[in-house]
Amino acid sequence: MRKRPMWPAELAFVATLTCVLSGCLIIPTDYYQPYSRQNAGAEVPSALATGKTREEVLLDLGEPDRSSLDETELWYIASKVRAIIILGDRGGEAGVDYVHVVRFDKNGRVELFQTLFTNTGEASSDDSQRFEYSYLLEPHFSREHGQHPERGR
Amino acid sequence: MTLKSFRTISALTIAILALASCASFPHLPGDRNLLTDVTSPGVSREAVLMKLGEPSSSFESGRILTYRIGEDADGYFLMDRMVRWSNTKYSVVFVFDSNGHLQKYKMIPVR
Repeated sequence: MRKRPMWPAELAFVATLTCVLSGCLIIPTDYYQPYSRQNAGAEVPSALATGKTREEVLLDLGEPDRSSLDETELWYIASKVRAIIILGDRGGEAGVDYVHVVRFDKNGRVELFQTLFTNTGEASSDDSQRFEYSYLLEPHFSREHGQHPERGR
Repeated sequence: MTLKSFRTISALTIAILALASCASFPHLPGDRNLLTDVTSPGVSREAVLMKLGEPSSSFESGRILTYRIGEDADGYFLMDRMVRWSNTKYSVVFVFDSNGHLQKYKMIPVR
């Protein structure tokens, strides 16, 4: 006798049940990391415009988290926790980092700006790993241990 | 749910609560007048540096200085950038003219 394939809803139910019975729990959250600034989330691009001066950007957003040595790039970074994940006896959190890179021309006016989103995760078990911007931690590009976003990947 | 999972959840909950509401870094006592003398138009860069010390960053050869400021019940206090933005409530930006006199300043809420 041929078996009937499972419907997506049935599959989802089985997956949820398996998850719950095995001790897997995902708690959705939406808060900033305690060390993160809170004025550099998804709303930043609306505060930026091509042609703005460096002074205007600094007066709007405040001190950047990183800047290039020649001050032609300012980086604003905010980190949010989006979920707490518990899987058996292990726990961790999943988050997102907003990285806003503002680039200025030689006259100190905004030439372009872009926002990068990177998912981050941290496990609390012994074999924990932290996934981050490894290129941000390189010490040879900016004042604050950053590195050029395009060269660093 | 196993006992081990319950313990993990409890530990994580306690950790989150501690980080969210209880964690703090040592700082000088708050001072309501910390910025009073250095935010008048025309004040010199030297006066700002003498009062607030080394800025957390500077731009355009020192024309623009920034400081990280926290706030408690007693007033404002300076924060070290080593703790990132923990306990920091404002980024204060000072802009000076070509003669080194304060042209404008702004307190930008960061948290």
